[in-house]
Amino acid sequence: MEESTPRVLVVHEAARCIDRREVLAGASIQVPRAAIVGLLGPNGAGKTSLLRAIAGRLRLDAGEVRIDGLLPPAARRLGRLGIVPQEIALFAHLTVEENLSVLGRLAGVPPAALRERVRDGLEWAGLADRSDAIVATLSGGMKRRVNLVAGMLHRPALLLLDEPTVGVDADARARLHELLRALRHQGIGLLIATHDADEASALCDDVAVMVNGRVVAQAPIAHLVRDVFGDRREVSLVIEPPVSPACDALLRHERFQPAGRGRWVSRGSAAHADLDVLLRRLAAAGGRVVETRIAEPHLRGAVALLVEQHGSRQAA
Amino acid sequence: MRRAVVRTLALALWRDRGALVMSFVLPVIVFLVFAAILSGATGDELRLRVVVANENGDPLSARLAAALAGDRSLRLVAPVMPSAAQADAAVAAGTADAAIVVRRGGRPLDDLIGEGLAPVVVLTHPARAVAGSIVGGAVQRAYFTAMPDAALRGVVSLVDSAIVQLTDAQRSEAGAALDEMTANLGTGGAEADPDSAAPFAGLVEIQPSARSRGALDQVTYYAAAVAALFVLLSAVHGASSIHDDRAAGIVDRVLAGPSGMAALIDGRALFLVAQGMAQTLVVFAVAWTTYARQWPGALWPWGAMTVALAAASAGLTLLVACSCRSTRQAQTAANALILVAAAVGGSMVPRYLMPPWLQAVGWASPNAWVIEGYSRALGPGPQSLDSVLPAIVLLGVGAAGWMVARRRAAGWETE
Repeated sequence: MEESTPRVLVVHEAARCIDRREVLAGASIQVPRAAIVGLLGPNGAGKTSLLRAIAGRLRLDAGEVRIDGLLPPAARRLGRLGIVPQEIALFAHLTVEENLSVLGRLAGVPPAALRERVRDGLEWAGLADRSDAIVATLSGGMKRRVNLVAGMLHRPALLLLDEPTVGVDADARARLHELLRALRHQGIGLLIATHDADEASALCDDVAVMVNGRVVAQAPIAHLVRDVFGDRREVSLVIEPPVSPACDALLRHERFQPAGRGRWVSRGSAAHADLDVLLRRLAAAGGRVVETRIAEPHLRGAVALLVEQHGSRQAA
Repeated sequence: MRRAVVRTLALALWRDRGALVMSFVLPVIVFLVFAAILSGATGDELRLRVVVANENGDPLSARLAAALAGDRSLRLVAPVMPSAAQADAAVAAGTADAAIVVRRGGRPLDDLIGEGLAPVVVLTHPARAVAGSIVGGAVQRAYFTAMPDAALRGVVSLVDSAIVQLTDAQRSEAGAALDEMTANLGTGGAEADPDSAAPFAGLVEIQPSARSRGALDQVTYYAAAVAALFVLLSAVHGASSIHDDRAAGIVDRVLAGPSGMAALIDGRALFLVAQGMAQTLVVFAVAWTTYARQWPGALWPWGAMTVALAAASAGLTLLVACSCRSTRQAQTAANALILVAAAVGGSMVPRYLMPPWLQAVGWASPNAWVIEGYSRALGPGPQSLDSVLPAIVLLGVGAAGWMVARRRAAGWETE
């Protein structure tokens, strides 16, 4: 992320304690204009709290949020912020066009411009031929598209999206990704909270990883993966059960973690030579390794490593 | 397996406080309200509010007025009045359920057989017509209890003038005459002479109060009562849907823009007012066209009350909705409150049939103000500040509920 790139979102050291629990512990994140930033992290890391703080829905004990240079209340008042909730935040009994008209008006679209914005939004999302359909009768992918259009009718500078493709098939997801890239092309900054590192890899320019209320890393994906893994690789072994206590102790000592169905994963192995030594020691301890896999560094692994390093309160 | 299903449902009920209240507390409250009403209506608890006017200055009239004033089944709400006009005004204004007038020019109280009008007239309001029969019965009881000498004097007079002096021969002749009277009444073949067949029925005459002619009749009373109940019930759905919008993320989406919670609450309030007015119009239109077959002369007082009813319903249901955490909780709480308010407020049983303490409690119910408001709005005579007082109260309640609902909803904007 270039320092000179204009930011539509700057969150600095946001902190909030609720019931003696730090839901935000000095979280900082930035979203450049015309960029897609993925917000990743395990459950309970504080992603939703951060989105709520950005939207002005969560009061901060310390820190600051600026949207296009404005504090959240002013940004909301001036229509600089849009939200696409994880839920299908639509009136199920209204048609697509009626939903967009109502939600566009509530988002502050002037009455004179509303009809044109709705028509443009429907065409942009490929929904023009379904404008009269009752939302409850649409497919999951179409509902997601309407959900997205409703969040950008007022042309915000920053769009917050919470799991925008959850529950849709691969084709619908690809269509949504196209739309999100088109929004980036229009100059909107997008912050997408997601559990899906593969989706973030496919879609985002930057990713930010949250653990325990803090953003522990934010960088372009390739940089972040390189920074986290260095010259290490992700190694996974499948060992024929039952695994003897000696094998179990040895694997844990080498920072392997059980991943189910006999698979053990380590993201800390430095070189193939170390792996050869480990395999010989496992054999000596009675372990029968039936599969060995060395993976190139990838975002999912980098996120898991960061979570391990920063000690998540809850498993990813 | 069946035990598992039973256990599941039992646990669900036990952990759902709203369902528990609806299942076990609300029926008890409604039972207690109806038990109080019905036991009062058939026992000593029923004490209708009456005024007594004595237009005669003779001792017998004074004795009857005093006996009525001391009757435990009646509540005298003012000292004995000198004129029927004052008593009539009290009935028309609703401060009394009925008026008992010992009228000037009526037959003497110790001669009920003679020519002339009944000595006592009971004035009733069209909306409380049944009160006339009840008070009429109370007058007869007071007359026979407190003035048996007058009653027997009437009997002697009747025997002396209408039948014969009682000798043995004449006793059988009188028996034959009475048998003939019985036969005439029994077969209905001959029209009974009211003076000879039922001499004491001539004691009391029941009339509508002159000033309340054209006022809210019982059909219109129930139109108001039913409208109040169903406008409130319908408003619950619209008001509590705010929680559906929260759960669906619509509130999150809206709060990202300039609108805020106030827009969502205000929009709902306006819709609920319009819905309530439309419902009320439909109920009254059916009532007037089907039963009354005429529309009231001036519609603006009715319109003002209709706006007030709809506004109060909107404000109160929004207040309940915004004080709850979910649609289900809001609907349960609101429905429970509405049923109790309807029971004590006169939407199910007229309030004047309730014991005095329940009538007093009823003023806490919007239904009571709605019924009273329509009674005054549709009453005869010029409208005054007093006529629109219930509408003002309801508008105030609605506005207060709306404002508090707005404040509570504003608290959802920022945690």
